[in-house]
Amino acid sequence: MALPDPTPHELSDVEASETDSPTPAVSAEGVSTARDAGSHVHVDPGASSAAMDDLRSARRRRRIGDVAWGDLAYRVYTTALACLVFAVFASGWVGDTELSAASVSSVRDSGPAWAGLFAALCVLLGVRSGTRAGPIALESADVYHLLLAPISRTRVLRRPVVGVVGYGVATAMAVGALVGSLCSQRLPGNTFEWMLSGALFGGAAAALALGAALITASRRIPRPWTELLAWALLIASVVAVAGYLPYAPLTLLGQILFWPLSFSPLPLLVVAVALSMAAIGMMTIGGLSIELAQRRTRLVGQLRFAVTQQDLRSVLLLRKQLASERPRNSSRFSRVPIRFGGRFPVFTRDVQSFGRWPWVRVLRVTVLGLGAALCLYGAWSGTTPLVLLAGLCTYVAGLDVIEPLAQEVDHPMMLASYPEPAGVILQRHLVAPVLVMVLVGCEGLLLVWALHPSVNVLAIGAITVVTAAATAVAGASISVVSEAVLDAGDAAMMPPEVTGPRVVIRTLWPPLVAVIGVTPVLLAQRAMRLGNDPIPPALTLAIPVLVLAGLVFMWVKYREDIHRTMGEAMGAKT
Amino acid sequence: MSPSSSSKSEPQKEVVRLIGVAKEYGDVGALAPVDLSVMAGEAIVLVGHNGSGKSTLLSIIAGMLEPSEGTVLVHGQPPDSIYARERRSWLPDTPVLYDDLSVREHLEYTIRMHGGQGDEPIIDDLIERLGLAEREDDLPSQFSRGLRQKAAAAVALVRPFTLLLVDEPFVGLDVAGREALLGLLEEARRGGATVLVATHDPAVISRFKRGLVLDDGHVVHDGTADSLHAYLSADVTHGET
Repeated sequence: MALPDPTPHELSDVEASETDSPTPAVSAEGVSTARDAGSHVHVDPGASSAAMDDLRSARRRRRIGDVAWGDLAYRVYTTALACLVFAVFASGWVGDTELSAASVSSVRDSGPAWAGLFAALCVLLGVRSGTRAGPIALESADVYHLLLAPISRTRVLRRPVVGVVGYGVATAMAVGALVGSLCSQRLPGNTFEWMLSGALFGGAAAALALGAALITASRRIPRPWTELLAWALLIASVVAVAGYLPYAPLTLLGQILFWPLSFSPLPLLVVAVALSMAAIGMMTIGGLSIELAQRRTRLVGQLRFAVTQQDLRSVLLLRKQLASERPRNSSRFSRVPIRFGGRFPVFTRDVQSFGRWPWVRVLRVTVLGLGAALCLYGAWSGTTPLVLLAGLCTYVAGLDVIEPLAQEVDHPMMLASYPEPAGVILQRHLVAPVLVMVLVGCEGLLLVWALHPSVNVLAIGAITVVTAAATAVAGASISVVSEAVLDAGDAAMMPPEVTGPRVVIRTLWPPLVAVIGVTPVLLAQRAMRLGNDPIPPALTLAIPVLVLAGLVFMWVKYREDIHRTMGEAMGAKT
Repeated sequence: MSPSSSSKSEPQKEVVRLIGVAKEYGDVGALAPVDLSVMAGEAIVLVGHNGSGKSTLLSIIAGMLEPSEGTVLVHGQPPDSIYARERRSWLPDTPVLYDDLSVREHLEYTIRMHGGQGDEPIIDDLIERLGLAEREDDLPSQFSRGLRQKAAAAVALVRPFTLLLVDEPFVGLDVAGREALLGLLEEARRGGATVLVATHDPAVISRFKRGLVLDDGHVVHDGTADSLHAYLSADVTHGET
């Protein structure tokens, strides 16, 4: 391609004398014609806003025109059916035996604190969302065409914000009414009253959380201050739940949920505050940071797509990006001579990757490890279902430590360029994560040992640390290495009756593997109850658990070969 | 806001003013503290390696990014003020268009949001000159990269402005489109607009009188196009040796 002559049509500077007169605008009559020197760019705000409204109307008309009404009706039908099934299931689970007078009194006393804790958690989530320009997520074209246009940003954002707040409050009211209805099954009082108070509590909690989010986003309050305030509310609520405080600020809001048991008009003040916060947030949303809005727009769009694809890996990755969780520029271990003479390049690369973790990720994995340990301690003490929570904690931590493997999977071309089979490389990436998970488990073990210093705890804890570390990495590697279900080439050929259960199994199997890793605690606890030595059963179960993890690690190595062989066999058959 | 109603709305000789503007992403510095003054009617080209800070600088002036430190003024006003938004047009390196509005609809609504009626002849003129005539009623979602770039250029140029910021405008354009866009930029400049263009294209660099070179977030050269060529030649030679 010939390059043009560099000299013609030179974009020369305008003469100095010209700039002494008012700056002319490039006119709407043509970029080639300047307006006379006295003219200015001036826009009528009303006309601009009207143009924006027309643009939105045109888009809405087009969207409505493009709607496949049959599909929409089917989606509404399936959603309604799912809600109904959930309501029936929840109703059956709650039961309808009325609680004893003592239990009712206990609910009356401690219920508002628990409801307040829930509201405080909502506020914390709202504030965290607000620091990232949430809760609204605009289209990227809206950011460019509307927020950069000479129209009041409050005016531009009014409609999306009203939509988000309206939808959020309405949904929360519906859920609150359902919770109220469930409460009425076992607590004294009229069902309608319970539903009404539940709806009011849900709506107020949502308004409070959304208001906090909008004010944080629009006023651009420094993140540490708002989060500190939200955490203070949460901690006060936890202390109130524990009984060390008679009231936390949001306990008052929680009282609304239990109005049928004990009515007081005072909580209406909190409702007024919640509604005021939502209103202030909506009125001041024009102060939203465009940079954060644009970033959120891009990432939330991708996040929604990844969710529809059941692509957990992408969801986690985008979630980290949304939280501005970037790896450090240089590894903390860059000066540590972890080279092994170049004999273990994959292991070395993984260690350096861990060295680049931002502090927030280090903190998260540490907290997850401690949380898993506390859950297992709770299971050991008799609350068996906590095993599930412990397994999920190890699974989520596993997804974090598996990052180097995930990076490899994300770059298949690079993986294919290595002089060794891809499966071998991927399998080698599992070593360092298992070691890190063992370290994470050890800190949990130390915590539990500090709470309950005994040889049994130490021995069973040590066994569980090893099994949990192996299965957490195994579960996470299944999730990362398996392609998203909807991406699988044969998924499109399958009927929904097959695809549905397949999606469920694929989604549940990886965390289930992680949960299996913490089950030695259950067997040990059972033996302990029967008066037997708890260590042998834990050891006995640890062997098949480790075999399971080993099988997964082998699957990671030979997965491609297995697929190829199966494909060839199927081809030969047909 | 009426431009003639107050002293702050008096048209400024200085269109863009950066005072110690820096930008950091986490622990990565994208732009070191930069001081820059751009006068009305200037045509400036920004050059530099990938990651040197060109797009960051333009995005800050465009109001899309907030500086980590320093002050940005567009016509003496903050870049996100309505006054600045009325006067500044921004053509980003990646075309941003609604997927459910045709090219013509984009142009009509854009010009209306900026004080026009939506039936100005410039719409037809831009469509014709940028080679979009046969696709003007199509949705941009069906367009190639080059066509999207042309449509985005038309959207940026259709509205009135006194400051035009253009980031890598020639990516994906064919020769005719490139020439058409260069012609339109020249006309905008001749119309009195201040034009800032970030590009890697050496043939385009020669068309500007003033050039800035960015390296690792620092403005390492600010001079005439001739001195820019000399600087870049010396830089390449230095790099080779």
